[in-house]
Amino acid sequence: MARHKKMQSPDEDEPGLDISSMIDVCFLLLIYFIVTTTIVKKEQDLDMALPSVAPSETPPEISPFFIKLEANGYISIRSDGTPEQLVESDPDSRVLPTLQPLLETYRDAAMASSQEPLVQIYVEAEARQQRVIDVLNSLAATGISKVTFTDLLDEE
Amino acid sequence: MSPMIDMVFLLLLFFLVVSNPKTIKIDPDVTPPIASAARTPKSKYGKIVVNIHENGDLRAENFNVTLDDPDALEAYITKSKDDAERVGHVARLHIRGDQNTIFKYCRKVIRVAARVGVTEVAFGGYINDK
Repeated sequence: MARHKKMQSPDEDEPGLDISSMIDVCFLLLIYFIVTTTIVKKEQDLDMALPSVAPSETPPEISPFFIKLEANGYISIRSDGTPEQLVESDPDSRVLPTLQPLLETYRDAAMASSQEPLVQIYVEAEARQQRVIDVLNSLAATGISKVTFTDLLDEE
Repeated sequence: MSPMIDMVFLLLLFFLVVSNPKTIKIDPDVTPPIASAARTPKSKYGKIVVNIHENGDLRAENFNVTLDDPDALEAYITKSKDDAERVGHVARLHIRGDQNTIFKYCRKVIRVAARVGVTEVAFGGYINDK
């Protein structure tokens, strides 16, 4: 009996793996996640260091910059014993065009005397949170992070 | 093909192991204010999140927990501070106040936090309204 040995090509020796189903599933998953994903707005931080809420026994070396925020959104300032002056009266404006340069001037003066600028804020209880953040935002933009809320010891 | 799949699984394992799983839960009932100068937080660890709703309701990071009772608020901040400091993190109060709430609720939280020794405060906000 003659034996005919059939020659096999190298391709037929290796087992094949059909990955087309896996690719189908991967694409289905990808489409599912693309459709169901909701993009969440990313929140950022406004960092503040509150030096103390208790009255300090040692007064600060530099005269603090005083900001008063009223319930109607008006912002007044007082610095170096000057009388209180109204600087911002548009509560719907997110930028504070008058306050910002004043803060920068104060910061530069403090830096010139090698001291850290210190800001005291008095906020009326009924003031909107957005307006408070507007003020803190101006401070952060100016590079002032040492802030005291002067009314923290008061009772509500 | 199999070496590539091996590599993919190795990479997947690597990223699973080294990834930072800490996430901050976001209370959907709070719309934070706009703060264009806000920056990406340096660390997510040590944050003591307090959500303040528009009507003044105070909620913990797990926003199903209400903190309207001053004792509950103080206990929450104290416990979170102790937990953070136990693992070497600096405790930081993170206030997520609704943009339309009023400041007296925020002040109440800061006052309690200061009383228990947390003086680092961060206010959550969006850098724009889009």
